Amino acid sequence: MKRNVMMTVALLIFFSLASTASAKVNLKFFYPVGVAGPLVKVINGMVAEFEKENPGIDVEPVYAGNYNQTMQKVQTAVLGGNPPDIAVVEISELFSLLAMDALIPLDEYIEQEGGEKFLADFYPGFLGNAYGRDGKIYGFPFQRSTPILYWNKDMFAAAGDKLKAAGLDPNRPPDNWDELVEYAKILTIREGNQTKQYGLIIPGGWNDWIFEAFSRQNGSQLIKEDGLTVTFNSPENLEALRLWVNLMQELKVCPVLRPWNITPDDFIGGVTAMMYYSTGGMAKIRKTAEFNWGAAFQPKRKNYGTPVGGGDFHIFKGIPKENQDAAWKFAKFMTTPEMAGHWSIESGYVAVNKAAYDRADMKAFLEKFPQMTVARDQLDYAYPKMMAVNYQLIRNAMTTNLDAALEGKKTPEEALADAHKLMEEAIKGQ
Amino acid sequence: MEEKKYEVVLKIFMLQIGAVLMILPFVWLISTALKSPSEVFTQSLSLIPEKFMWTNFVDIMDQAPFWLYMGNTIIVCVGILVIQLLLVIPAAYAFARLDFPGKDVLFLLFVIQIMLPLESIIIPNYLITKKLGLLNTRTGLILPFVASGFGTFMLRQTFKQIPASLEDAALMDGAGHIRFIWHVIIPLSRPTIVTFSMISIATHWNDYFWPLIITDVDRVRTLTIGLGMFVQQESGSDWSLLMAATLFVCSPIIAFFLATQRTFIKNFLTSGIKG
Amino acid sequence: MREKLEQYQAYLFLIPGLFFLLLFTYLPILWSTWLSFNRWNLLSPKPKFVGMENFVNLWHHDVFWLVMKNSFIFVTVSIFPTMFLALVFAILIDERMKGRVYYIYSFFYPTLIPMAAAAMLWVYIYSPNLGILNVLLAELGFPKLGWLGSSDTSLWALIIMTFWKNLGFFMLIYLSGLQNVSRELYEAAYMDGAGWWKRHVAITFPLVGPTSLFVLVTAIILTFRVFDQIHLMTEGGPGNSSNVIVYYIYENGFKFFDWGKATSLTTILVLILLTLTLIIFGIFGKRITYSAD
Repeated sequence: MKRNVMMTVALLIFFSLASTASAKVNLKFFYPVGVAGPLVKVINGMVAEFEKENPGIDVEPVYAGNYNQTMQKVQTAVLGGNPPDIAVVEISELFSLLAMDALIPLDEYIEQEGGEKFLADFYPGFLGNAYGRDGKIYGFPFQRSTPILYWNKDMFAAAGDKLKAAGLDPNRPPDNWDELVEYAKILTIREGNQTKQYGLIIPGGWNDWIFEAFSRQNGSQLIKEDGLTVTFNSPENLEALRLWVNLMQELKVCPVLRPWNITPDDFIGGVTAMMYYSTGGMAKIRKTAEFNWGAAFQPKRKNYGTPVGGGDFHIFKGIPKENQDAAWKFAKFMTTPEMAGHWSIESGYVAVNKAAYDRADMKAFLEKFPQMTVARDQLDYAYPKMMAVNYQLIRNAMTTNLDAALEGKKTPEEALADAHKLMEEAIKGQ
Repeated sequence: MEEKKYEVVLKIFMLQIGAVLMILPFVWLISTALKSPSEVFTQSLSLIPEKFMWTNFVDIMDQAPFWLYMGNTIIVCVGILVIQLLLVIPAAYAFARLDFPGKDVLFLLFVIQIMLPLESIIIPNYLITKKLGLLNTRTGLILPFVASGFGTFMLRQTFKQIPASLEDAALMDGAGHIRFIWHVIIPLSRPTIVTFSMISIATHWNDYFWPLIITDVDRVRTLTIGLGMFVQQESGSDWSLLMAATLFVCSPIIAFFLATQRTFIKNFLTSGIKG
Repeated sequence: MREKLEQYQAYLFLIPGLFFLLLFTYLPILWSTWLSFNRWNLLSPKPKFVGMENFVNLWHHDVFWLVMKNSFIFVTVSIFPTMFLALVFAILIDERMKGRVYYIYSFFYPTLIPMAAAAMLWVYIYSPNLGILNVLLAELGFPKLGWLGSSDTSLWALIIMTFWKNLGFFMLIYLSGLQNVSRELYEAAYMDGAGWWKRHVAITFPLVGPTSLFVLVTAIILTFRVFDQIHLMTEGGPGNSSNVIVYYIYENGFKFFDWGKATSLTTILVLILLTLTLIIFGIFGKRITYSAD
C-alpha cells in the first residue's frame, strides 16, 4: 500500500516537473507585408529557424495584411485586452501605440546587450523612429526601406538619340527635379490616344510617403518631429505638389493614381521607363524583369532626401515577463547580420544590421545586383518618417486630399490647406 | 398561342447575349487561373492558355492553408444552418398555427430583423461578442446569424398552407405539437426547408465582413478572408495564382449547386416565394 | 386549460429564437444608440456622455454627406435596372422549356460565389493594364479608363459589378413568382391581339406585384449593406468617391477607432432602414403579414 502511494506521488511529481519543463513560451507575432512578393514564406522560414535554435519558444506568425490592416489588427487586439506578444507595424504608428500605452520600453534589453555599442551595429537612420517622447526606445528596426527611383536601362538606350539631342545622358537616370521632368517627357511614347509607354509612374496608395520624400528634397517636412506640429501647407510642399500634379495632369507623362501594389508589375511589364517605389519591391523586380534596370537616389531639389520607411518590432505590455524576454530574443535573432542579410536579399529591404554587408554571401549577391545598395547609401540623406498620434486618421486626410489634387479635382493650394486643417484636427482629437 | 418566328429568334438571341455576358468574366477567370505568370503579363485577349499550368493550384496551397480555411468555412456554415433550423422551425410553427397573446408583435420583431442585417449593426455586435469572449472563435462566427427572421418568415408561409384537417387528425391520434411538427409539417414542407437551407449555406459561405472583424488568426480563418488576405500578400500582382485561388474558393459552392441542380430548381420554383 | 397549455408551448417554441434575436439584434441596437451620444475614441478611452455632439459634427462634415450621397446613388441606380432586367429575363426564361437550366445557372452563378471572390475577379477585370476591359478598349481604339483608380468611375465600376452579382438572384425569385401566373390569361390576351410586350405589361407586371415587393425590399437591404466589394476593391477611394455608409462605419470603428462616431453613424443607418421598413410596411403591410392567407 505504501509503495503504491509512493509511486503515485513520484509519478505526480514527475509529471508536474515534466509539464513545467515542457511549458513552452508561445509568442503571437503580427506582421505585415507591405510590398509585392511572397514574403510570408520567407518569414515562416525564418521563424522555423528561430524555433529550431530555441526549442523552448514557439512563435505563431500571424500574417495580418498590409501595413494599414496590421495596425488595425494590433489596435483592435490591444483594445480588446488581448495584445500580441510582438508585432511589426509601420513606423509612423509608434505614437499611436504609445498613446494606447501598449508597449514596453526596450532600454533594459539593449543595456544588457551592450547599450550604445550594440545600437551602433545598426544604421542610425533606422533608429530615428524608435524613440518615444520620454526618450526611451520602444521600437527595433526590422523591415526598413527608403523610396528610390527605378529606371529601365533598355528604354533609356532606345531613346538615346532623343535624350542626347536634349542634352541628357541616356546612361544615367535624372538627378534633379528638372531633369526628371525632361527625361520623363522624352521617355513617354504615345500612339493616337494610347500611351504605349509612360516616362514615370509615381504610385498612389502610399502617396503620403512619396510626398514626404518630395518635401524633404525641397528642404521642408510634413509634420515636425514632436508629432504635434503640422507643416503640411508650406511653400516648398506646394512646389512639390505642383510638380507632381504637373507630371500627371498637364504633361501626362505619369498615369494618375496607379495602385501601389501593381506598380512594380507595370515596371516589369514595360509600361514605364521609370518608377518611384520602395526598395522593398526589388526582389520581385530582380526575379522577374527581363531587361536591364537600375536603381538610383530619388532626384533632388535642394538636396537629396527621403523619409525612411518600413516597420519596427514592438514588444507589448500586458504579457508575461517570460514572453517579453522571449520576444526580445526573437527580435534579436531576426536582426543578426545573417538573418538581416537573408531578409534583405529575399525582399529588397535594407539589411538593418551593418555587419550584414560584410558577409561573404551578401558581398557576392551585391556584385550581381549592385542596385540593392542604393537604398542603403541613400540613408546618408534620409530622415525619420513623420509620426503622430491617430496616424491612420492623418494618413486618410493626406491621401484623400493628395488624390484629389492629383486627379485635378482640387487645386494644389486647396488640397494642402484642407489636408493641413484635417491633420491638425486629428492631432487635437476633434 | 403561337409565337412568331422572328419573336422566337429575338428572344433566344437576347437570352444568349445575356448568358454570354454573364459567363464571360468567369471564363476569363478560369483562363487566367491556368496561365503562367509571364503569359498573364502580355496584354492579350487569348482565352486559351499557351500552357495549362495545373501547378498553379498546388502553388496556392503553398502560400496559404486553403484547406484549413475551407474546413473552417464548412464547420461554420453547417453550424449556422443546424442551429437556424432548430430555432426557426419551432418559431415559424408557433406563428403559423398557434394562438397566443403578443403573437403579432413578436412576429414583427422577427420580420424587422430582415431589415437590420448584421452589417448595419456591426459595431455593437462586435462589442457584445468581445464581452462574451467570443472573438477569434468559430462559435462567434456562428451565433450572431442563427436567429433568422428571413427563415422564420419563409417557413411560416409554408406551414400555414398545411391543411387544418391534418392537424385535427393528428390531435385525434393524441400526438402533441412536437410530434406533429416532426412527422407531418417537416416532411410536407421539404421544398421550402431545402430552399432555405441552400440559401443559408450560400449566404454564409460567403460571409466576409463579420469574420474580418472578429478573427485574425489562421486557425479560425474562413475561405473568403483567406482569399482577401492572399490578394494582399501577392499584392495584386501574380494574377494567375490569384485567379487560381479565387477559382478554388468558388468551386465548392458551384459544384454543390450543380450537383443538386434538379432538387434546387424544382424546390425553388415550387416553394412559393411570391410574397 | 388546453388553451393555456398551448400558449405556454408557443412561448417555449419562441424563446430560443427570441433569445438570440435580442442578443444579436435588438440589444446591440439599444447599446449602440446609447453609445452614439458619447465621445469614445483613441484620445478619450472611456465613453463620455456628450449629447448630440457626434451628430452635430457629422452634420458639418463633408465626408459624411459625400458618403450618404454615394450610398443613395448606389442603392437607387442599382435597384431599378436590376429589378427590371431580372423580370425581363425571368419572363424570357419562363417561356423557354429547352435549355432552361443552362440559362438559369448562367445568370445565377455570380450570386453563389463569395463576394470576395467576385471582387477579386473584377479587380482583375478592371486592372488598368492587364484587365480585359481596358485591353478591349485599347484594341477598339478607345482610351483606357481609370475604373477603380479614378474618382469619377470608381462608384460606377462597383455598381456594375454588384449588378452582375445580384441579377441572377432576383431573376430566380421572379421566375418562382411567375409560376403562379396562369397561362390562360396570356392565351386570352393573345386572342385579343395583344403583342408580347403588351401582354406582359398588362398581365405579368401587375401580377408579380407581391414578388416585386419582396425583390424591392431584398434589393434595398442588399445594396445598403454593401461592404465586401468596397473593402476589397477600392477601400472607399480614391478620395472617398466610392465610400458608402457601411464602409464608413467600418472605417471609423476599426481604422480610426472613433467608436462614438461609428455608433452615431450606425444609429443613423438603423433609422434609415427602419424608416424604409415603415414606409414599405405601411403601403403594403397587411399583404406581408397575412399574405399567405
